[in-house]
Amino acid sequence: MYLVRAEAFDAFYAREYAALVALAFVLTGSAAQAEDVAQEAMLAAYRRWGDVGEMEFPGAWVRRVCANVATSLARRRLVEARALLRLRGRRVEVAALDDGAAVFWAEVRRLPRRQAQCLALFYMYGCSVTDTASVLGCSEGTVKTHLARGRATLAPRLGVHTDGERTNEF
Amino acid sequence: MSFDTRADREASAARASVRGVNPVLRLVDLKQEAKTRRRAGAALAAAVFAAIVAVSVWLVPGGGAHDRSVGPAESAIPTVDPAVLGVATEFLNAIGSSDAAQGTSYLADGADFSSLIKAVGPRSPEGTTAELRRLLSFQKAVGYKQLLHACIATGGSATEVHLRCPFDFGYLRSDEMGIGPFSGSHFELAVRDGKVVRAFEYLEISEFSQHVWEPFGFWLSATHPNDVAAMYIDESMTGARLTDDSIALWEQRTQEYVASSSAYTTRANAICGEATLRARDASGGMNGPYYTMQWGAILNEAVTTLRSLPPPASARTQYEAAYGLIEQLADSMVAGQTSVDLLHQVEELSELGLQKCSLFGPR
Repeated sequence: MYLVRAEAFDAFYAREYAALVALAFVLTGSAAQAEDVAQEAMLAAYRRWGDVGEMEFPGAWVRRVCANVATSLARRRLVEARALLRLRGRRVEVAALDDGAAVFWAEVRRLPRRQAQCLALFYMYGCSVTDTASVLGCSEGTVKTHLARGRATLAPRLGVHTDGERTNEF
Repeated sequence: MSFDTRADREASAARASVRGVNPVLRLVDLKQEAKTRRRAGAALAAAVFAAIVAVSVWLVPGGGAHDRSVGPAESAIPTVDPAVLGVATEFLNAIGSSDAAQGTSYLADGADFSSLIKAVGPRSPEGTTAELRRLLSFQKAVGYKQLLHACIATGGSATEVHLRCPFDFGYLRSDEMGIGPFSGSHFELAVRDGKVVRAFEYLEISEFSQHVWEPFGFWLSATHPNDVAAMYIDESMTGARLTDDSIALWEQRTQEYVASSSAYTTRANAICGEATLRARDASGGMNGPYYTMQWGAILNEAVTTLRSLPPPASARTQYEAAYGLIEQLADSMVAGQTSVDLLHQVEELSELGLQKCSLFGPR
């Protein structure tokens, strides 16, 4: 039984990991930290795999942890400290963003925490409003509000215009 | 261009940037880390940590790894000049007691101690003694407590000794709140010619962050939002701003926080959380009567711990009533006679930070 669970986790990890690193990357702005944040989220899932693996959407759970670690108070500092301890010489595998993308995500990170999380999940992951609400544990209305406010704040800063309210519902 | 178009384009660029990441390699790292990461707050962690340190010392070349007739314990640890150990211990005790004059007296000219400042302060300090003094002033202002364990040699050269010194800590008056101390941290020092030439600090803050740093930050944001910019280095509150004005604010606000019911609620949440972890470890995830009885016994101990610090006057009546309910629940679980009414009453204690002290806490 445990062996089966372990295999399931490996498959889950292989499927989710790269996207999780991308989410962490845009929310932290640091290639060096992105993998460590994603790793922290995966570690949390691994430790609780007995429960998480039986959830209907374990991916949503690990995305929430990742988004929270990437944007939360002191936890990022812990991740940094662990990364420092772990390694000298580990190569950074995340490539740098071009200027346009770097500016865009830097502006996202300046937003309030929840708005940044909503925008990252919505655009990076392609989560629908419903899925974003499920990942973050809030209502769809709250997600729509965060998305709308985030877009309204960023549009003039980036010199673009906002359209209607896309929902990613297909 | 529309916002959505721009966002889609930049999201695509971000996804493309991680294509080189190899999940298989990192999965190996993760499983290794899962094995070595200590369990929060458990006394066992200290023993495991000591064992790991002892083994790592044992494996240091020349440290006895090849001499199988010698055990990996004390006899294999490299001998360190007691004077060097004395310098390290006195330096770290000075740091722990926030004694700047004493602490800086052990530092060599040009010593690298910026890591000490980065542990809670600005991310890119210059590493000057003035910054170290401000850090120690901050520590003093917020009731930093440090319990240093024995330093162990980890290597070095003929002229320089490297030491690792584990410690437990309390910060932001966590001890006054009845939370902690927090273990799993350590210093790494390099000592040469009787002076500290390099000091590195690893502060294990996972539990501290969850139970003290973040709750304090949320409380501050709600009660004194205008102080956030003055007290922290950034909006996400990842570090303390170390200026004379901000340190005075830190002292004042942490005192207020400790006296508030918010801090007591945080403490209650931490104690119930620890109890649930113990119950999970003890029961191995089992359900049924065995789980219920075991959880009842642990819950009773948790209430004893909760009662050891009186609630603030403003919430005393609520907490006393809640503790009584939880005791009733715990006793009934041990006796195998839990009533539904009681369960529902206890389930409603979430506002007091006691939600995990319910029947379903560890599940």
